[in-house]
Amino acid sequence: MTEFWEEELSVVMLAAGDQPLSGEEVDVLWSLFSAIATHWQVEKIDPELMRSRWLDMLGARSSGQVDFRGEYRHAAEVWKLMVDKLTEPVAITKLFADTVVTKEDQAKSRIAHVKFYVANDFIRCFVAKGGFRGFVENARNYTGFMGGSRFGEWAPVRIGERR
Amino acid sequence: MTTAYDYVIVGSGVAATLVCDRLLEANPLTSILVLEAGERIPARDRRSWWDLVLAKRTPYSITYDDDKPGGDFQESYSVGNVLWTFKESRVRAYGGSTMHWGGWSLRFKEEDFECRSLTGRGADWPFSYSTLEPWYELAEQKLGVGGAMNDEGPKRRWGYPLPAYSWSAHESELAGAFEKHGLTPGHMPIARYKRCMTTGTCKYCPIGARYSAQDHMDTLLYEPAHANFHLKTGAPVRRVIANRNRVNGVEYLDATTGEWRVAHGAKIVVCAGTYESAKLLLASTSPDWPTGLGNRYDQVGRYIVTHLLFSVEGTRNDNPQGWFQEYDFPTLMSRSWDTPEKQADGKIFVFNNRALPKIEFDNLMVQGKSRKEIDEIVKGPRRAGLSAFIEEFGDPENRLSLAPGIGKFGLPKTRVSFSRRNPARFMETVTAAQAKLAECLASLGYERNEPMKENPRGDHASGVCRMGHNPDSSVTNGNLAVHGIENLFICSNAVLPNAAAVNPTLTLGALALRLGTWLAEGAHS
Repeated sequence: MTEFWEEELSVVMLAAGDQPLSGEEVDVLWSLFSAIATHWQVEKIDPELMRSRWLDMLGARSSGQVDFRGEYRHAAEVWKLMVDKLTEPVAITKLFADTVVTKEDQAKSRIAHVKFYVANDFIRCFVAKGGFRGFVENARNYTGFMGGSRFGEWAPVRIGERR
Repeated sequence: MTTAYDYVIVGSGVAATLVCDRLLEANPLTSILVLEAGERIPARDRRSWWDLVLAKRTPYSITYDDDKPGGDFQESYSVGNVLWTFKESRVRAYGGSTMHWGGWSLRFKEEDFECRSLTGRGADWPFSYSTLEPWYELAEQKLGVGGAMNDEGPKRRWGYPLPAYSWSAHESELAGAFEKHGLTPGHMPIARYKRCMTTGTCKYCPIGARYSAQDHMDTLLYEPAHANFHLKTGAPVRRVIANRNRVNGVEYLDATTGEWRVAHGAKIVVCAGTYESAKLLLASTSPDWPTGLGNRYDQVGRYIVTHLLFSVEGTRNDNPQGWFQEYDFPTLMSRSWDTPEKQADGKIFVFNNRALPKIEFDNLMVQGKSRKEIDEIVKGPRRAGLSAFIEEFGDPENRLSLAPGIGKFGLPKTRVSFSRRNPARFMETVTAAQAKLAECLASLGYERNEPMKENPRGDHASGVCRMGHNPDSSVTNGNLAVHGIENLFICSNAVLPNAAAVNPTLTLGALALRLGTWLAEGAHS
């Protein structure tokens, strides 16, 4: 029997609908986002410190062209089912390690939609908002990260002897 | 809204903005109409910024030239022996190309103003560096340029308004290699305007820190004292209306109604970038000017020139500190080959490749790499790169002209014919420079990869309405007035007599501030 997340789906983005995401959907999506730190073992990065920036991304991508709410809603449904049925550690491995979807025309199943339209963006958000520091000790900046200070109190990148 | 103004300004980029800044500073009630062919791109828009971070998509890419040969919507054509690239080289929107620039703000050097006299190539400016120096200072203040006073470069009376960025650790190491190979390292001067927070997304700054003409002109527009200052977007200007040696207005298309309109101006200032400035003159034919305004001597469109970008990359086997592109913009540069000694063969401006060493954690994770695999990649082979612009010289046979048909912004299509007279000699200079840059990298253990040369890109195109004393060899005079026409001015990179080796925007800014002040003083007198 085909699992729900393995069901085929058209590669076309899911319709956004008119309703905002519910609090419950946002909570499920947040657990998906938080799982990134778990999967890549970046224990020193606390996802809670990224929550406001993640919410900013979620809000920005939940309107205008293209509106991602349909994909977010679908991802929350799929992720919740996967965690309930497989347990979270197995669901994490299945989504982040076993499912690689880098092109739109590969998004042909429910889980492929979740990976391509939602999880990949969450990964990019996670890295840009500080996750890069979990991979390189003392790294200070990354594209998309606000590493500087308006008042220049600190160097925004690792510097050397010559400045 | 009235249809008669003190000034009608065509274009809304950095030149237009700085001219308006000076005019309104002198007299806030000066009546000005700015006509912009493109539309407003939302600035500091969270969604647009997230689209860049997550999908590398920018909101202005739709404004880029379509130069795909044979494509249904092709609007720009390269017809010379050297392929000229239009794509991604300019933004056609309110704010112009400052909507996507990196903010590099370098002054030309003293010898650039005497290129012909010193080398027998290119052209001399109608004035010297010292004439423009005070305007460079003001331009650096307006754009909020951060730099280092003691770096190599032209003489300057004062330091930069803002401090330079420190080199990253990788660039610090490269700086040491520069010194060993006769290159003096310097700090890239960057227009950080409202204090950069180093997000590395200069192509779309989320906080409006990197200078954009849109931000600046908005502050002028929203100033209540500027009651007679107006901007109209979606208004391509197709013709300047002339009566013998005076112009009295422009014809433009109102994109919202589809109607043609006329705006009258006591003075017309064309700040429409290199391509559109020349094309507007060429398209403005009349019985008095049968080949286009200011084109009695067939000079409009000639001498088009830009910079060739070339690079060298190398790879070493390790990356013990896990260095990567933390800034994502270059802060290391050198002007040691941007000197009078190098001028005859083309001066060269060297800078670090901002994108290297590259570790894209997000892409590795998206590809399903494990933590262990990513750790190995971080400590594994590391690439570094150096890039440079080389100066080329204006040739009368290289020219910009009108192509048949109308492009997507209601403006005539563009044709550029660009060829090199002695390509072998030019490439020898490039190849020799690449070899020296490769030596720098080799001294740090980088094994050279294949060298790269891009085709000339239109980003720094200039020369097609060049300044000069004589109407038979130039289009505009030292005050940027079109020869033979009292009240028509060109203020774009089109007027630069030569391209020098560095980015032209600060020089254009200085020229715009000088013109705006000169016009304002004239208006008062």
